Amino acid sequence: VGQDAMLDQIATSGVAVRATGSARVEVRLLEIAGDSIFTASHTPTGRCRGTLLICPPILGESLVTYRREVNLADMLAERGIAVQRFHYRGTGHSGGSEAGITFHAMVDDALAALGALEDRVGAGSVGFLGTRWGALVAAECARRIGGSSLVLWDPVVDPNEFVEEAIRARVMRRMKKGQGRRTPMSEELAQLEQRGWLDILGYRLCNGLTRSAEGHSLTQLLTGWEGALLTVIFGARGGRRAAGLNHVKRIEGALPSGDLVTLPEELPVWFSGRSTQGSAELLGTTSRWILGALSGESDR
Amino acid sequence: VIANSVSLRESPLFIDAGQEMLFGMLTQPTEVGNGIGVILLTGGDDIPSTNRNRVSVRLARRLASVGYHVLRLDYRGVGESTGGDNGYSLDNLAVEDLDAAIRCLEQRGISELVLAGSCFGARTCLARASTTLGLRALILISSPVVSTNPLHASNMPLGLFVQRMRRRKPLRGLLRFDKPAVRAESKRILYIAAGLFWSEVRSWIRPLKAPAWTNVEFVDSVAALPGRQVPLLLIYGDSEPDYGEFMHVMGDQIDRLDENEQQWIKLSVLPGEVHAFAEVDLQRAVEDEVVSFLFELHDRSLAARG
Repeated sequence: VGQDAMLDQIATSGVAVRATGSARVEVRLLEIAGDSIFTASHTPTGRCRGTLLICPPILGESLVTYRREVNLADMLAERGIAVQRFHYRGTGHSGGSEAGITFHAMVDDALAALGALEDRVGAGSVGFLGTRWGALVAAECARRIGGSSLVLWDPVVDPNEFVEEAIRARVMRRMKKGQGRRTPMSEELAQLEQRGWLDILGYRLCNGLTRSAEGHSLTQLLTGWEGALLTVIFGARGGRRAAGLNHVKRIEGALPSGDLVTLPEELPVWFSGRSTQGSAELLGTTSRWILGALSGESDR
Repeated sequence: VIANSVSLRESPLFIDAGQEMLFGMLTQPTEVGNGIGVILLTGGDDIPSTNRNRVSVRLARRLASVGYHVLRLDYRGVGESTGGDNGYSLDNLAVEDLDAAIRCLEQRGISELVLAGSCFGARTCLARASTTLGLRALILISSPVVSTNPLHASNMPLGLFVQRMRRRKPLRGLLRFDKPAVRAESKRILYIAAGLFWSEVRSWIRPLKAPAWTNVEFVDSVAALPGRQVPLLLIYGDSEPDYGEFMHVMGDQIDRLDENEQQWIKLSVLPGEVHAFAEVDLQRAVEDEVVSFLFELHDRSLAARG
């Protein structure tokens, strides 16, 4: 860890730019509190009709959704919405280490990334999109910034449930590999506390994050919030079988009223397959809704 | 605010690769480096250049801290690069992307190179080993040795193929009526299995002389490296099929190398399965192996320069 800390003192330089038709993408590393935050700004070359911040998921799920987020950002930028994507400190290309990740630091990173985008394109109507754990971060950002809109892709409703889901995935992998018995949840949680982290399929889930997220369920974060909301449920999680119906019911019960869409596309989590580009249905549905929410116009 | 102890600099860049723009992150020492570039390539499951749990990010920063200029690259259609589904496979390696990365470093005055990749990335690096003039070392992590041509695969020894089948679970896949692609793949594997069974029976009567299921370029390229005096680091996990297949094909060849030739090849076998980087401790072990291998190269390089 000491070695990581030393290596996290990294200077950053330059900006990488690519053009995409009527938009451009600028990748740069922002400086915040001595660390760097990786950002990719997708901006329209013409009039900007609103801004969107994309809050990615964590652990292995960030790989699965990566291209969906890139493609959505490209699509929106070409239709006049400026989009900022970023990596939390301690993840991806950003500086910092996993041990320093907390829920509050993730929100700080998100707002810093949004601020950097607004410095370039100006402040206008703002939206947030969060996937899985990123939904919690997006919800907290939306709560802080009045009048914003919110899109949630397969949201984590309760951080404690996410941790338990992650631990189940860890135990299943170990059993599948024949590397041990089925340990009770309490034992795994105790190990998380004692050791400070658990290996979740090749990612460190640190107790700094899990502790800091306590009390930040979607319900708690969005109580009293009145912005426009779109929730997208993927594949079997929104299917017609009992588990899917229950999941949808639970999401509806946890969130304020808004639009809810179920799509056949799977968003594999934990034991993921390869990352895909995202279906036209997902990208089309989401971008049309965002255009409507941020600019009051529908996409033609 | 950057601390005074800063020794590294990271710069994002887009690299022109024909019709696509590839994204790369260049990590360099802030002082003059050792002049050697390292290109890090990930596996083929559309994994961005960070690699799983930032394996490539940590490696890049550790290597740059001793003087290397490290470029980690998103293949086309992956991460921040442009492009759609790239259709990469072991028969369709990302050599154009690697060429673009090599050109990018050369344009920055870095022509001495270390190529490092895992799985699909390893095979891509190996495919350019013979044509990269300034190649200083090659690092192959969990590199497959198989040919993906089913006709070749059908000559694989039954034991090795069974190991592969256990991973793919073709019988279960055959029942996935909701997933035509999974069913088709399962049928293909079972078809090959039937062929293998017949081959096995046939081999009892007349043993096969050469392992036709291997990738010829892999075998030839690895065998040629000691002659070119290019250091090679091979890393495998002891429980992954790739390791068993590698030893089946290359074990004897490596043993036959003389002492002088063997000094150019280091085979590092770690406990468990390295292939998907699915365990934090194994990730660290791989990183340590790569770093210590390249630290040694760095020291040799300094000594050679007096």
